[in-house]
Amino acid sequence: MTERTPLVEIRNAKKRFGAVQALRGVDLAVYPGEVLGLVGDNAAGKSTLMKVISGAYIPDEGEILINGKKAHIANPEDSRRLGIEMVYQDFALANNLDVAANVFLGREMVRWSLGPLKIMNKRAMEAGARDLIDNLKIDIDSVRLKVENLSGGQRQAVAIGRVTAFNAKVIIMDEPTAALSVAAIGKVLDLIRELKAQGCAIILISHRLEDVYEVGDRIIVLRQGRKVADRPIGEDIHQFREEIVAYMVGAKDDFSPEAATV
Amino acid sequence: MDIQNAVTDTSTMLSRVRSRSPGFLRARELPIAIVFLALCLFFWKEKPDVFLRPANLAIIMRFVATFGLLAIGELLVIITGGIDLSVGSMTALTGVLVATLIMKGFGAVPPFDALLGDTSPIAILPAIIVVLFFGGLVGLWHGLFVTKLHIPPFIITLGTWLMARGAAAYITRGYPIVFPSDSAFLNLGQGKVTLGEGANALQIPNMFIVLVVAAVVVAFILNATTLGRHIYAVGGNTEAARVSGINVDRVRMFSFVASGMMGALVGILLASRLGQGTPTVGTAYELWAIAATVIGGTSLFGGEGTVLGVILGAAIMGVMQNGMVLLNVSSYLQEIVLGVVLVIAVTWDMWRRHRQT
Repeated sequence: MTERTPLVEIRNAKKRFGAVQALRGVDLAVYPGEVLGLVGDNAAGKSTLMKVISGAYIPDEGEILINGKKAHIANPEDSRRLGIEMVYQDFALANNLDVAANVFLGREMVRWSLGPLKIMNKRAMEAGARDLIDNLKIDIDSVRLKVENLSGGQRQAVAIGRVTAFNAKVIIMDEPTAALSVAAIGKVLDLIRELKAQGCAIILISHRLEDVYEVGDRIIVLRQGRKVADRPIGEDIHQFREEIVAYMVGAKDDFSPEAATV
Repeated sequence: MDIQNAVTDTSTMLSRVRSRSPGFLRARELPIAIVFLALCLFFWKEKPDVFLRPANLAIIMRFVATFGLLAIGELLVIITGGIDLSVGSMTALTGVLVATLIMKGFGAVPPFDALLGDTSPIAILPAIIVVLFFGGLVGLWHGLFVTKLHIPPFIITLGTWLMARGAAAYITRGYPIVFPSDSAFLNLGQGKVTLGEGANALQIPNMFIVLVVAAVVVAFILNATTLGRHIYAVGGNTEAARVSGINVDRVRMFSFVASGMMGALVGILLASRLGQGTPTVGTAYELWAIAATVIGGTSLFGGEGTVLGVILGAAIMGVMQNGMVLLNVSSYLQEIVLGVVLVIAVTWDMWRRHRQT
């Protein structure tokens, strides 16, 4: 287990915004086929950490390793090229376009170019979107449906599905189950299991501890810009919840400087 | 209450029927096309001897060409979530410019006079190209303010609305620049293609042919190219477009440039049509163009609208305006009726949208 190379590893990430030290030296590693839960109270540094991985922020200090090799991520395109994809909380879909158009948004298949005009290969994109939807067992009748006609769960499935269309190795999901019905949450969790089975690494940011418990393999708790827990998920859910909350509010800390000296 | 239920039932039934029908019956433009045909039938029945006469059809086609071209440019801007209020004034300024360039030479226009001296004889085509380019530059100016300085499109194009009108009057000192009646330039807007023979031969004004070409090109861009897809995406969800790697600024810039060029194109055509470049032409045309886009099913919130719909919108306005003239309806009343049509179109569109979500 520990001998494997992580898909993505962050060492000693630090980031400061003016007077606020958002990250105070965080280590994080995620392995192929692993679902890593990332939790913490508001302003614990979850979003900052994910934006460092996805290239939206450049850390003041620390390094990022992809497959054990040091990587330079200066912008979102860099991280995308390295196989890191982000699913945004608000779905980030164009509701006025259909499912196929959203899956391939910004990366349309091109049949031929007429100077700066690129003629799309719509049929190939529809077939590609159909394959993707079937492959991930997403329940959508037609890829020609406009996204505005889909349910919240279907939209989230499309938002997650579209990032996997381009050989994503690491998928970061920011609160994918917020604002969804119970049934829809179940579908999204199924989708996460499906992606895991296909070998993706998933970083799941969530306030819903039961979701992390249900699909997660390991959990990292951040508090005030530091990692306070990094442990496998296994025990009984009530005990799990109590312990994680204790970490979140600061009652427990596995990585405190004092604890290290004891 | 019962009536409302009945209406809702009918429309859900209609949408169910439509979802199983061939493509053209499912098109959003269908109700607009039906309204257009109904209007044609009505006026034809009221004035059977005049309405379909070739000369009358040519009048309608010129009207539709003028506002259709402006509305196509407006459509591109509105889909991306913007608005372009400058196009009416731009038709005046570009009309005056093209007249000045052709009649007095490049040397008569302020930026060129220092370079070229007094006058220099020039051909028509360079003048047209320069003026189209100028329209594109004004669009680029709008696009830069909107994307780089985050000035609302409404404000920056309102600025041009004033500046272009003022500049047109300033260049001409308020007087029209009249072309001689034998000028080759006049053929552009006054000429027509005659199909068939005799008194019933169909006359298609050149302006209308320009409209058809522009409509085909823009419809192709919107439907078949990545640029078109990105235009809709930017209007639908700008943030989603951005995180998907779409260059949002460039897309919005393109839409303003296209609209500016459409304004210039109409300015050139109207100058040719009227035989003069006049600073008072095109007053409130931007509002007519926006009305045509909205009647054609374009959402002012962005993300929705088609070229076919917009042209049908312009056609509905053209047929109504023409038909009311034929029926001797007071011109004041005509404006009231067109205003009512606009309000009905927007209300219907909002109701339809509301029901969907």
